[in-house]
Amino acid sequence: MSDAKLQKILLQSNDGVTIDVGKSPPLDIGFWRTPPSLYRAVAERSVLIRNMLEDLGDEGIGNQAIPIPNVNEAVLKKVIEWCDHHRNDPVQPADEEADTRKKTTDIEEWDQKFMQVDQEMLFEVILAANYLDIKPLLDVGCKTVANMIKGKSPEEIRKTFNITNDFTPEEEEHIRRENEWAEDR
Amino acid sequence: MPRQSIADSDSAKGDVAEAKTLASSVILKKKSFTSQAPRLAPIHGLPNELLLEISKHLPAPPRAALALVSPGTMTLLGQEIVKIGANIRFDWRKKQSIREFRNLIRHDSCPTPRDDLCSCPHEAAPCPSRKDKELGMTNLGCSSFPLPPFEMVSEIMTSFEAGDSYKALPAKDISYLTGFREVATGQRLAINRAEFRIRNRSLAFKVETGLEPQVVRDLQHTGRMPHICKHVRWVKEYPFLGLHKNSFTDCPILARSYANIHDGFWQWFDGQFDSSNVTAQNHKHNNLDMVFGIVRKCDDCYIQFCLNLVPRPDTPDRRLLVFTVWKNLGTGKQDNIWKTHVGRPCSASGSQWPYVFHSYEWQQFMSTKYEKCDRIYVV
Repeated sequence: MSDAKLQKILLQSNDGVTIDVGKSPPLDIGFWRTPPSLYRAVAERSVLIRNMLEDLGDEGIGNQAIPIPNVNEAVLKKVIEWCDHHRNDPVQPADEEADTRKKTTDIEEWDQKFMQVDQEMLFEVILAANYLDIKPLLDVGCKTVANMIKGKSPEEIRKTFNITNDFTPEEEEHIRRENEWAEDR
Repeated sequence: MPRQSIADSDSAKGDVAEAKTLASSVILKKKSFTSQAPRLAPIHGLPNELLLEISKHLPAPPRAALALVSPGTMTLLGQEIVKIGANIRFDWRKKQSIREFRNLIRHDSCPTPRDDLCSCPHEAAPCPSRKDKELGMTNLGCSSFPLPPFEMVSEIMTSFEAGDSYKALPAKDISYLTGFREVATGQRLAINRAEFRIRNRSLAFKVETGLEPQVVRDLQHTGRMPHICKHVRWVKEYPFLGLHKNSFTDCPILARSYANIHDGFWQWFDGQFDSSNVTAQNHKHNNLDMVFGIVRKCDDCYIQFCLNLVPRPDTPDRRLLVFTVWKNLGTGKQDNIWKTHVGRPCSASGSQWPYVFHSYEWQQFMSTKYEKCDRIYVV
């Protein structure tokens, strides 16, 4: 095993908190801790971080924290938790990934529990996954939102996501009429 | 405010669509007049590409519902409310991208027969040799194994409820829905298209059929002019289209009136219309300008219909009569709206569960194979 794999990865959230990939909260519980050999594998679930690590090289990393300017501490820890759980998942080729991942909204049980968070956190995780380029996590997030939308009317979707009805009165009247005809009988 | 119809809203679609294109953001337009701006919903923070990403995980019905949430989502996703053209082999089971769908449309603008493999590049002009073959096919309804409309609609409704399992909509079924079945009329339809929409968990469609006026007149003369619904007939609503024995009632004055209106229409169509020829002064159809584009509604089953005279797409100097019908199919096979279209079952005497009916009084949505059935089982 190379030394690089043993190296710890430090990430710095946008609120200035430095997070050790090996010391994210869920991994410190009990006697289990992530072995150092897996630190890099966890961080490299993110294509963005993987590319940065490759660009910097092993020497360049040193003990410096990699700044993640668009993600706060809570969300970053959540993302690292997901990456740690999925660190051994095979990386799908881009084409195959695009083909298979949109065919279903089925979500693994662990991921479902992982996504049982408030909406603010859910969308923050989606944004972070998009920023960090973690496609499987982005998929899980999008599928979770898609499942929340399924089977709902537009009004119910608005209620679910607390979306203000931004149609102008004329547009709303038009939409109302379009909906109304379906209730004729 | 008087209740307005789907047809009204459909005609107003252009204006609204224009307004929607002006919407710059996806969901979010903060209302500036509020002193205390409400906290934006978290979903508001998502950029367009992530909303599109989410929508890709949705089947067509909830995607349409998402599109209707706000002007922004309408602009972003509204185009995905798919129009089904007459010759489009669109497989709903594959959730194709809009680009692929457009390719399909291009492909199907090529008149290659459905069962033949097309070697034409999609963007190229249709292959002339295959054009001849296509023109030889006079009856789409006989061209392939028929998919009964009832099954087609129930499939769509099932997919609407379950979120998957779509089936394609063949051209012959579209013509079935307007009543101008090519199997029955033997006429090739110049326009034959349907648009399905889902509103408040109900399925509805708009169907348009375009025919040459002369063809319509022939249909009338040979008694093959279809009904609009079980309550209304095209010939009754638009008697100027042609003459048929059914157009004449016991009332000779009304019969004469129909005949005059008919003559008036054809003179008007040929450019020799003289309104003084129309003698039925008080008849609601005597003013032809007030006929075209006016949406009417069946008071019994709420089907809406309209007649238009439009330039033919391929040869604008010729005109087509376009028959448009809007129908609401309800939320499922148990929905009373659906049953309204199918008609009440005529029960067999002494029938017990599972109930057995000899027939439905109106079989507009029934498959041709069911039409011939002695008994229909309803569980």
